Amino acid sequence: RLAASPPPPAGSATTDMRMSTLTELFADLEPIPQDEGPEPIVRIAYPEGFQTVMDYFRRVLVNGEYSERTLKLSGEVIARNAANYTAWQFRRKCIEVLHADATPEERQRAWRDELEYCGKRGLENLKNYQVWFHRRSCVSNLGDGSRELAFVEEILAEDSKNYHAWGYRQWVLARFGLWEGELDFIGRLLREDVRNNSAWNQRYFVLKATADLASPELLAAEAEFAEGHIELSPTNPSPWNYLRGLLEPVGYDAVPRVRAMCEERAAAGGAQPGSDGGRVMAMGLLVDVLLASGSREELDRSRALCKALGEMDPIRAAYWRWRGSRIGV
Amino acid sequence: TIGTAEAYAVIERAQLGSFLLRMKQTDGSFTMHDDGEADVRGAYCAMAVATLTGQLEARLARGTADWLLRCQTYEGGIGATPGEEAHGGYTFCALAALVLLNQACRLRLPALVAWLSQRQMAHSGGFQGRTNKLVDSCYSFWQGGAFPLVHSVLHDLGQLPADTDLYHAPGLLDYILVCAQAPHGGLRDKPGKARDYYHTCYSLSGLAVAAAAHQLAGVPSEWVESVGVVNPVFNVLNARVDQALRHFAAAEAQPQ
Repeated sequence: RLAASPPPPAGSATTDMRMSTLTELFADLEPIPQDEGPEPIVRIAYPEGFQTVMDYFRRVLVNGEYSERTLKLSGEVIARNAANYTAWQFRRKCIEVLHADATPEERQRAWRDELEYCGKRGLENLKNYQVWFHRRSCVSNLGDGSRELAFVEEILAEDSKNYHAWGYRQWVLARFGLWEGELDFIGRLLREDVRNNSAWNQRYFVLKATADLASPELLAAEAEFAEGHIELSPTNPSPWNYLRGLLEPVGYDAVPRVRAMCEERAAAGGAQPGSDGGRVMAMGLLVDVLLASGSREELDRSRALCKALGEMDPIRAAYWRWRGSRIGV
Repeated sequence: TIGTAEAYAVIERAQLGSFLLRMKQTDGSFTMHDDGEADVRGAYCAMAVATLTGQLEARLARGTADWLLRCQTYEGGIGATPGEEAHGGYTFCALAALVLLNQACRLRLPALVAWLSQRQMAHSGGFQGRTNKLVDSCYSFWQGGAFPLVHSVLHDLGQLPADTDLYHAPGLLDYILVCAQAPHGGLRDKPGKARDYYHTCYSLSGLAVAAAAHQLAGVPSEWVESVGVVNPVFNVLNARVDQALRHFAAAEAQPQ
């Protein structure tokens, strides 16, 4: 096969074209070597085959040839560097050009094939911007996102916080209106890992798009949801941040239970070996709650809390000192 | 060599400007390239490049601050696009872009500062990129470097005294020097990971930011003085930023 070449870099597709086949296929073209200027420095030691592929790719880019053979060539480029964004954009152009006069069915077929290609590259390159953007293009062109949530779920099963996966999932949900079932999905993820902050972020995202974040019923229900998860792991910042994010815009008195919960946890006594029982988290949120109420006593109390936090949470001492200084200003 | 008038002259300034305009979307965001993804990195790169080459004009800036502000989440930090999770890399990009647009004051600043502060790890002194994720030396810059920016905005609003850091700079230095250095040179994400150029670059960038902090108890002053002053918006030595700005301002005065 590629006898003289070293194996393809880890994480790339197996290249399916021998260099002899490639040079035959493009025998009519003159490859363009990379121009590294008159005095190259830090020259990359490309594996054999890489340069050949890129030399021909440069030529077809210059020629503007969008064809079956150049589509194949782009695959060879991507196999050797999945982050070559030019090659991905080139693929999209090829598919458009090749099917400019095709029937809708033929175009659908082409984008489905491309989505399959994209899926394989995606599983090999989980943190690659180009693969995920390409997927959006394919799915947009297909106008069908019905299988996408399952695909993302597969990725998240391997890496539950994959940033690209979550961003793409948000796009699919909004684009195709597939909101139903998402809160359940988030619930499942939180049962697996209550500290999955991406899942918490997703919950906010879903509610913001589908519900009224100022509704007292919703706020009470969400506060209860958050509190239940604080119960499971009181030092976990995610539900505390979620509570703060939900209530700060509308006012903490929308759900009086929250202040009560903070007071309970802020009082000493919940500590266990290795955990302060959520005391620092609770005190931090209590500062915000008291500030919002604004009475003289409560401002004094929040200042005192900041002072205490400066000692209990020393990495943030300067921050707590500043916060304390801003109270009542 | 680089950083010279000859090097700057290699740049086709007008073409660069029109490229940036072509990347601009109707919603105010910027794609990374033609037919590419649009996220806060695009806005930051566009704003930074435009500023350095003296081309940040109304047409390029229109609507971008509004879009960036939509990327701030309920946690206070900023995500890649509106709705995505608050993340150190994207927080830096959005904040720096807004600083260049002179509209960082429109962020929910108390929430941003609270989130940034919460990202410093109590035991290791380094920064995590998102809530409940692991420390990583590259965030020494993305998160650490966001602090001088936010300090500057707060100071301009009269909300922060001049000599105050809102993070623990000695703690960050401890993480970089003790945990991020690899045995034979170079820096790494965390112990157990291999060194690489990306982590070397951003650990050292974070080190440069921390060296410029005001409260550096326990850090030898001769060492501090030996570290170059880096502009936290561009992550380039201040002197070089000034040099580039002057060059392109002069170039603008004499259009080709």
